[in-house]
Amino acid sequence: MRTLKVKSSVNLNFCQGFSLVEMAIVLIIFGLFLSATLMPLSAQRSIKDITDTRASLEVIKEAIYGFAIINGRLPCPTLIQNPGNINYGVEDCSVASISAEGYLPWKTLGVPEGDAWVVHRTAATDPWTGYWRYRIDTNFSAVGTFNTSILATSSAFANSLFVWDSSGNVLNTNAESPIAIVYSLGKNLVADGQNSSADTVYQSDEITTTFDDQLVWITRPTLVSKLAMAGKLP
Amino acid sequence: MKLLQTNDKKLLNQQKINVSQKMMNQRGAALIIFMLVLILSAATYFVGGLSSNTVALDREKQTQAALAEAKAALIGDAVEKQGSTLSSSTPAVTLSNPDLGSGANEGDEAANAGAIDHSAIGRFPWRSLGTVALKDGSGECLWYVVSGRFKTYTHTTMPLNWDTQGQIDVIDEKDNQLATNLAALVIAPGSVLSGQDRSSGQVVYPQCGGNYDAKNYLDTFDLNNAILGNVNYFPGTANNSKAQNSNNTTFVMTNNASYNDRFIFVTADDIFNQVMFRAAFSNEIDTLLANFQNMTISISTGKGTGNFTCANTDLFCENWIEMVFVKNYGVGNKVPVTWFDPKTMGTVGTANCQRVIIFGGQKTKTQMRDASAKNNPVNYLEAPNYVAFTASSSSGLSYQGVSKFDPHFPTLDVIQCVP
Repeated sequence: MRTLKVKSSVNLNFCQGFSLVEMAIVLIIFGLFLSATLMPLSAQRSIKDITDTRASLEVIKEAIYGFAIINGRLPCPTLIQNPGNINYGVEDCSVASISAEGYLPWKTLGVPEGDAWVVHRTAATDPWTGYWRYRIDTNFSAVGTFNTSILATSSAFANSLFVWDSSGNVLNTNAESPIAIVYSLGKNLVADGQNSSADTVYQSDEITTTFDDQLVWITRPTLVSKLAMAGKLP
Repeated sequence: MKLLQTNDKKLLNQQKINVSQKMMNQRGAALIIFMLVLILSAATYFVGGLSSNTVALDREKQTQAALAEAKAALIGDAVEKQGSTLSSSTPAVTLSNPDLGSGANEGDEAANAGAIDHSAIGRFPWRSLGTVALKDGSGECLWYVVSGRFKTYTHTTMPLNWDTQGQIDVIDEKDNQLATNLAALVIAPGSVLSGQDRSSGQVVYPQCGGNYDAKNYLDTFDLNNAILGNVNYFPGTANNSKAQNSNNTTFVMTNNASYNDRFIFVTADDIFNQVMFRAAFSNEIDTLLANFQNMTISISTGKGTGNFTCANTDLFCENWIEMVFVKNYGVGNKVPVTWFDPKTMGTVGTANCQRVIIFGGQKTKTQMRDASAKNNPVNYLEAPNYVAFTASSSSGLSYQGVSKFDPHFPTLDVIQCVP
């Protein structure tokens, strides 16, 4: 009995491919698929960036509380421009640094250097894209003033930092100003609203098309509670 | 043989024709089906990520984080109110009043939260405490109930210390007691339940929205569904926000169609465990006990302090004098006192004393200090001090304790002596 061997070659004369109608249907489905997935993917990416940044800010808050428990004061901002400097990312407690808004000393605190949109700097002239902005009340940056101010019933605050919402409502009282503020510029990489001016008024609100900064602040009562639990209250 | 070869060729040709016909019959359906499967798979993947369980867990996580932050801010604020240095004029550790909607700004604590010793419910006073408008996983601002004896204004005339009993009890849906005599509760109201109206009135609150009627947020709205008649607000008062008397109120923590509130408890111990770690606290106890070192008035009452009156401005004394026990033995009947190191239990000093002054410390697990038990020294003093203090003579008696209050050993008796 012989085994038949059938050539598998295809006669190209009979290959007609897909019709235009078939291709159109496929392309339409493919287009629908792309529009149904890529847009949500983009939106989901934005949401993830926002969520990640918010989570990082919470980590930063805890790191600041921890620093205060160990050192009896808040960490100072950093202003060192040159990434090659050994103290780049380390707190700088000079008067110039603590008396104005600077950047979070991420190396001192052991936290990520920036938000979800950070562009890592490699040269002194590089912009600070996505790096955490950081402002403190100067009364809480040195051991002496911290110990006095942390439980002072009046005159505790040197700078009277304030946080407003987008409608101009003041979210804190004179008697309980934030003692530190950390914020991200958000996806648009620009300080929005009150955060764009160099003063003691900051802004926090839901993210909109015109405001996408994410801001947290350290409060004195919460810090007092954490210091007390650690047995470090003056 | 030739016939066989002819048949082979026919068979081969027939197979070629079949293949060609199959090619012609391909209409692209497989690709369409493939695309549909791909789309459905992708959709399943993305929608699966948003499953109800994941969303519910995220909401619960946010709720718990907000409650914890609120509790820390409340206690921190209470400690902070005492100021940088404790002194005889330092006020008691009171908790903030709720935001009853009566302040100038949303989030401000109420200047007055009802009658003395009466508990009150309102929104968490986030602005006064310096926090953001803390919200639960449903996006609702937190609520807050403070015991009448712990609120700031108008607060109790009774001593406020670690034995003060708050007026908040908590049960579950089977009436199991979850907590008693709490100082405060912070409440996450959760999503709206049947009957609740969380719409805004004439005044719009930009951070929290809605209104200040506790019944629209705290459960349950329909009294017919209340567990053993207990609801998480004060019925019958304006905005259901103030207790009508100073009795304990029972709140319900459960999760069913009528209740979805989440609580975090604030106990007196939560507050005073932070206060007592301040170095100034033990110093103030020393100052309080020093009042009795040179006291010339006679010793009286079961604790020996009956003839002693705190100075008008001495708030620390008013709140802590009930912990003090004084006994006179006289020069001829001195009793031995031994002081020990609480860490090593080794003796660090001894003396014979004509007067013994004791600070009873925190209660131990076996001691009770409700109103009826406060006059019994056994609820304050440990052995051998209880035996010595209640004995009618000095013969064969001795005292032992620590010389200074140590927050790591808060139940130990602190003893001072007049040699």
